[in-house]
Amino acid sequence: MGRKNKRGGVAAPIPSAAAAAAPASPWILGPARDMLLFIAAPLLVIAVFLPLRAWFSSRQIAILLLAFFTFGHHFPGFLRAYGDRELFSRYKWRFLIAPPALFCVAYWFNAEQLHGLLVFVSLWDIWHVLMQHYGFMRIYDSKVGAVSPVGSWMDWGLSISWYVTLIAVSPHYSYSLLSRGYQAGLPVISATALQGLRTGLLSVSALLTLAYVGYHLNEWREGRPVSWRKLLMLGIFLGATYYLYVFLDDFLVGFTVWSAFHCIQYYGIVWVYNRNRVKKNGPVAAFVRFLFRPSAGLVLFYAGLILAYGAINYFTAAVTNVGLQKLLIAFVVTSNALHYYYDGFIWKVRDKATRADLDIADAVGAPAKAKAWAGQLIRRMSPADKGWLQAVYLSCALLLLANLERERPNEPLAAAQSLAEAAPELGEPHYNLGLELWRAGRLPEAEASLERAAQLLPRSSKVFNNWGGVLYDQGRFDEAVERYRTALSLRRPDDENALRSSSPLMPGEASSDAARPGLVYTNLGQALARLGDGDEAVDAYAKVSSTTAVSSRACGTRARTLEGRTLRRSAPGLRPRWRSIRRLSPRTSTWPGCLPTKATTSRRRSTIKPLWRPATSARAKPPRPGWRSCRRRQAHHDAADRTAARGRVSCRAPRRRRKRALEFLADEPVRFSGNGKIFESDDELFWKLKSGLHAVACAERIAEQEWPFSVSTDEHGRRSTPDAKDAQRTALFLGDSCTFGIPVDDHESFPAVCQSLMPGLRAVNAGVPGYTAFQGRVLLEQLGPRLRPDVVVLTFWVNGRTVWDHLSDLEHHELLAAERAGEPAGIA
Amino acid sequence: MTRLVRRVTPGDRPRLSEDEFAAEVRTIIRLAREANARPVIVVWPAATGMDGGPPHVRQQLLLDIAREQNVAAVELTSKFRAAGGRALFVDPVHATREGYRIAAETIAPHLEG
Repeated sequence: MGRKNKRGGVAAPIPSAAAAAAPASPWILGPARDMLLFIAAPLLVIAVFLPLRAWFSSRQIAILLLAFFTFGHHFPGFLRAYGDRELFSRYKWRFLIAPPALFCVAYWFNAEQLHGLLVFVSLWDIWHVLMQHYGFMRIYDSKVGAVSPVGSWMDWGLSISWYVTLIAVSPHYSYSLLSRGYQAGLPVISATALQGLRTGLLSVSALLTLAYVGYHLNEWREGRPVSWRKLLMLGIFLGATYYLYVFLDDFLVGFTVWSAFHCIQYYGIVWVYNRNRVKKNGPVAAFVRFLFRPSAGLVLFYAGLILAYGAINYFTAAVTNVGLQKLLIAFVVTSNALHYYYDGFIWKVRDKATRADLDIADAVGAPAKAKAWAGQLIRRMSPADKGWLQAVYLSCALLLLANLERERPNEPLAAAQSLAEAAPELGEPHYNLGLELWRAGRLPEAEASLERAAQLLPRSSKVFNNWGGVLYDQGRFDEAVERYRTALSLRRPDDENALRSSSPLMPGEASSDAARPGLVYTNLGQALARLGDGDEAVDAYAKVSSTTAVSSRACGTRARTLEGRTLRRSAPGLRPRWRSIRRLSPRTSTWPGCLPTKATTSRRRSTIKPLWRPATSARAKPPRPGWRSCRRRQAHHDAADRTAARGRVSCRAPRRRRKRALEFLADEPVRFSGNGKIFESDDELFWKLKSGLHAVACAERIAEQEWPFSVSTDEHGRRSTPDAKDAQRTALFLGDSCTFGIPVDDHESFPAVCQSLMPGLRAVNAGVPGYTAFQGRVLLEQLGPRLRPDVVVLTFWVNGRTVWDHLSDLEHHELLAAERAGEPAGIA
Repeated sequence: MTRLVRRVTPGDRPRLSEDEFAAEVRTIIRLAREANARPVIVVWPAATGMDGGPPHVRQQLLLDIAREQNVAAVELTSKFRAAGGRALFVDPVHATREGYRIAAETIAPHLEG
């Protein structure tokens, strides 16, 4: 709850024309309860929650606090919004329109893997918590009759200045915000500019502090009231913020504990307000009247309701159904945004009734100068008009952010370098920079970054695993083996079982530091094989099957090693086949708060992958009405996601897997010149024909004989057939290269000839070289509803027999889905 | 058990096992029918089959599924054998222009309403 002023849409204290007489008590609830719930709440939560680290992991503490405090504290605000008849009637349209509108926006941003909304909510959160603190300061001032506008401005300025400064100097917080901002396409800033900003903020804060101290000393000397409670609260607030954001090395716990004291203050003040409202027989809903009767049992019930609401966020991380999870994530983000939005106007202390129900008389309100500054036009607007105005500028801001991310994504390496410079004391930015440099082929620099990351994150097996990978790529197999062994020695059981703590409520995502053991063993096996240590390599591979579910590939490799054969495909790039490049938080995935569900869209060029959730392109499309099999497909994807969530699927970057699909295609089933021009990768089908091709020259060469042919495709990427304008019936031809027609021209493929032989028939040649019945089935699910064919002709059998990495098409599909889903936690 | 065997035995895992292949074909048939489309199975010939002998196990699987599902099956091997055998192939599976024409002529009658 915030007492906010015009500057932020949050009401601020208004002094009465004549200095109001101080209320009888300078406390809100009384000395003990005020100290416990408001003034010393930060110390209380620090004392209670930080020691829990001895028994619980940071992630577990964070999950519980995020759910039952951070998210749960939205409930009392909603209770006020929808349980106060007078308030509801005044802002009816806001209360009715805002929830569905924000939910749609959140769902859309999530579905499109855009981060602008997260950035927006993160910044709004900062403003929101500041205004709550400021509101308490003004209440305590008003309780002693200190209602000077200058004092109000000083409180406001100093709180904002120091809080923003502490965020800027907090390496974790600033890194998280910058990461999210870069993901949203905000410009990358240089280390010099950031340092200048920090210095400037510190200077301003120091000057304001001097002015603040001077002002209060002057007030005290002149006998005007000064609230020591307010000053104590300010000191504790800033001290706790410094301790939790800057000093404490565990930001995950620091942030969530900080959030907890904000929530405790909120619970307390809302309870006071509602209790008074009921006591004074205000116009509240029957449920509110019941809930805020003076009864210890009802206080517990109130707490239970808050916990129940918070459980929604808690279970969002546990849900395995992708569709439900998307809805829940959108709900969580909506709840956040609504909380900030509603609190901007429902707690305005300029409202006499609000003042009365908080027992703060007529002594507080916006400073007189603020009124002049705010502008007459807006003040004269009706609440409904103001609501529409807010909707317009919020929409504009979000559209701008969405457009920015889509049209001007940041170059990942530049962003990673900026982040590493912005927070050089953190390991994670160095780790991510190392991965980007590795991707760029700058191996010595990548090694240096990963080495630095390992110094800063000495317990992260993920860092050591990827460090080993970089060494492997440089041909330094013995050093790679050493790093892999270190990675294995650092593995802790709780790393693999830890719940994800990512959440829209967090400014950053904290992912596991653990590399998947199966992955590391496979890498180790390959490095040992390179060193010629066959027995140890076989032992390492043997351990893969005990740690990884998808182990057929490793077993295949093991078998080949046993046979003394060279590791297939690993030679060219000297790259372990199972090594995946994974990122620590905030770059691992997209929207937080959940198990991996999504992938980046293909139009996203940035590889700074979203924080809240994982990156891919066109992910499984939602089931189409009337096409029942899609349910199976969705279930299949859900299963893949669940598999990924359990951390059982070893991953490689989706982009790489798709590329490998094309390599496989060029290498194995359809080897003809020109095939590189006509295919493109596809997340569902592995590969497909490019659309809009026009007479691309191809040829199949068998022995000394060449069979030239040309390929054209329509706008959907299907091989062209002659026009059939008068067709009444459609035949869909599903198949492989025989249906496609290698090596004949478009009009000579058998579907095209069938069309010419059957007047009134339109033949759709959906044959694609290399396709199996699996791909045919997936393609039918995609095309069927749109084409509504009368006949479906299927011609498959040849390609199903071929071998592709010793994995079935289904397994390839699952791996790709899991990778798109954000590469399960615990990998490196 | 299959998975276990696969894990401990070396060997190449095909993209689709015979069971998976059969399941996918049956699914395509079901999907087509659910969309009110008539499925037709074409059993494509292989050059190796032009010299006589039994069909490939997957070709036979397609014929069995067609019978089981009461789906029209167009068996092209005999047609190709009669029309020119290996001369209709440019490689083990891809047909010549003439081969595709023969395939189309054989399939077309099955596309009538």
